[in-house]
Amino acid sequence: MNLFRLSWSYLKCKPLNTGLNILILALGVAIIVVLLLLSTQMESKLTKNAENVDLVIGAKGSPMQLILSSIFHIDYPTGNIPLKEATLISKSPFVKQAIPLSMGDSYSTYRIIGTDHSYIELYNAKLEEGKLWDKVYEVTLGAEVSDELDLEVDDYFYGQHGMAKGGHFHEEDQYHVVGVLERSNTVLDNLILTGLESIWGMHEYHIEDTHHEEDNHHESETDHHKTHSLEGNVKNASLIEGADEHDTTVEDSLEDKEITAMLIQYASPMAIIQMPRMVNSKSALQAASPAFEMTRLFSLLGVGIDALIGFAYLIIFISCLSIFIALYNALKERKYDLAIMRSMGATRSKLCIHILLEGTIMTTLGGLLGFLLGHGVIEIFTRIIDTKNETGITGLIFLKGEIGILALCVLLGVLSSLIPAISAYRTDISKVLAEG
Amino acid sequence: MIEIKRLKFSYGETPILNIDELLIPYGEDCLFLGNSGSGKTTLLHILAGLIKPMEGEVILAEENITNLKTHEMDDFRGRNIGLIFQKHHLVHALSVIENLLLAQYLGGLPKDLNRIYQALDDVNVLHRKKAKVYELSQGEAQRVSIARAMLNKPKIILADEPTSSLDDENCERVIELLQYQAEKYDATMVITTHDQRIKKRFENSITLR
Repeated sequence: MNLFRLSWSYLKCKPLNTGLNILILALGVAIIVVLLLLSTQMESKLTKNAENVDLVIGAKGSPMQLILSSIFHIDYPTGNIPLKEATLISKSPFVKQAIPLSMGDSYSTYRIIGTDHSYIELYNAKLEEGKLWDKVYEVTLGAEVSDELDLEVDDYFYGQHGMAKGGHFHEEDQYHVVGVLERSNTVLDNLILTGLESIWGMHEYHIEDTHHEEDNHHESETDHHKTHSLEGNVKNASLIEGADEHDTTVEDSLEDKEITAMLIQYASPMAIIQMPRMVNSKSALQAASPAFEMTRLFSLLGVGIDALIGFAYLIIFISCLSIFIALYNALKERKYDLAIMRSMGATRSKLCIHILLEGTIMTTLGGLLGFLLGHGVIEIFTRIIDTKNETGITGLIFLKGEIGILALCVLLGVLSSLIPAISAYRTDISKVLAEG
Repeated sequence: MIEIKRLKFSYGETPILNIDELLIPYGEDCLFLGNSGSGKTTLLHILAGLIKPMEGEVILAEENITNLKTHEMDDFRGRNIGLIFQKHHLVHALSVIENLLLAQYLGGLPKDLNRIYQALDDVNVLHRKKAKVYELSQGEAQRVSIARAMLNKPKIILADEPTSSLDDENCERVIELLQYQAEKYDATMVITTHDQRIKKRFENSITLR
C-alpha cells in the first residue's frame, strides 16, 4: 500500500464520477491537440512548399487563389496568361529563376502539371526510378501518385480535362510514364509532371476536336506543334531544344501559347519591392507574394483556431472545477477516513499529498486520454478524408508543445485539489473522532 | 505503562478533566466509566495524543507525549497505540486486507502479509480478507477494526465505547477479544465507556464525573 494506490482506490470507488471528470478534461485536451497538430503540420507543410518561391505570376484574380493553386495545388487557377508576357518578366534583372506551370488536366483527380525540370530542383526532389520527362507526353510521377494509382514506369494513361472527376478524356494521345520521384513530402508527391508542350499538345487536339469540321486544315499544324513547337523560351528554359533550327517557327508558335502561372525566385532583395509593383501596375498579369498571402491565410485561420482553443480551455476549466467540487464534497464523506488515518500514524502532509494525488491522477489521465483522442481523431480523419495524403498531416507524430499541455494538466490537477488538500491537512482529528 | 501527572483540560471556562496522578502498569487494563460530557472521550484523545492537555504530563511507554511535536506524535501513535472506536471507521474504498495494509503503511512498518493474516485469524475474520467493507456484517467490521488496531502489536490499546452499539452477546465477545489481545501483546489497555455491562469484566474501573 502507498499513497498512490490509496488515491487510486478512492477514484475506482466512484467510477462514474471519476470517468466523467476524466472524459471532460480529455475532450478539452483533445481539441487543443487536434488544433495544435493541424496548425503546426499545415504551417510546416505550406512553408516547405513555398520556401523557395518569392513571387507567383498569374492571371488577375484573387492573389490567395493564385498562391493556393500554383504552389499548393489545392484551388482552381485564376486563369491563363500569355507565355510571351511571362517570358518578358522572366528576363527582368530582378529574376534569378522563373519556372513556368501549365495546368488544367488531371488523372484520377491527380493534377497533370506542365513545367520544366527546374520545378523538380526547386524541391530538391530525386528520382526513385526511371528518368525525368524529355519528350512530348512523357510524364514523371510523384511518389504518392505512383503508389495510389499503381502506375509504374512504361505504363500509359489518358489525361482528363479539368481537375475533378467526370471530365472529358483526351483520347487522342496517351501519357507515357518514364519515371517516378522519391517521396519528398512536398506537393510533388501528388503531381504528374510533364513538359509544357504536352499540355499545349493535348489542348490543341481538344480545341481542334471542338472545331473539327471548320478547321480540318489544322491537323498538319498540330503535328508540327507536337514535333517542333513544344518549347517554352523562359529563362533557364530546358524546353528550348532545337530552337536554333526553328527560331522563326518557335517565335510564331509562342505567340498564342499560354501558361497558368510562373514561379519566380528573386535575384536581389530589391526585387521584393520592385517586382510585385512592376507586374501589378504595368501588365495585365498579377503578382502574388507567397509569404504575404500565407501570413494573411494564417491570420485568417488564426482567428478560428484561437476561438476553438479558447473554447477548449473553457472545457478544461469546467472539468477542473468539477474535480474541485467532487474532491471538496468527498471530504465531507471522508472526514472519518482521514481522521482514522491520522490515528493510525498518517501525518498531515501525507493526507495532503493523498488528496493532491487524487486530483493529479484524474487530470493526468484526462490529459493522456486527450492526447490519444486528439492523435487518433487526426489519424483516422486524415485516412478517411485525405486519402491521397495531400496535406501530409498525420496523427502519428508527437510535438514538443504537447509536453507543455501535459505539464499544464498535472498543474491543473494540483490546483483543483489544493483547497480540498489544505482542508484535509487542517482536519481536527479529535473533533471528528469525537463526533463519530 | 500509562502515567498521568497533574492533568487539566477544559473547553473554554468549563473544566472537563482534572487528574492529579494515575498509573496503569504494563499489561494492566483500566475502565473509565462516565456519562456523556464527563470527559471520557477527551481523556482518550489526550492519551492518544490527538489533543494536548492544558496542563500536566502524559507518559506512554516511557515517552512523555506532551513534549512531542505533531509529526512525532503521529509517528509514535502509528507504532505504539492501537485505537478502537464505537464505529469501525474502516476505509470503504478498500478491501479488508487493504485496510490492514494501509495500517501497516501509515504505521511506518514494512509490508507483512503473514502478520496481517495472523491478526485477521486472531479475530476470526481471515476468511473475509478479500471482502469489501460494505460486504461485512457489523460484528465482522468491528472485529476487523480490532485486528487493524492490533496489527502493529501496540504497547497501548485505547478503546472508545467499543461495545455501545452491540448486543449483549457481541458485547461479551468484543471485550473478551480485546482482553485476550491485550494480554497476548502485553499491552496496557484503557477503555472509556458509559456501558455498565462490561464493568464486571474489569478489576480497575474509574468513574468520571
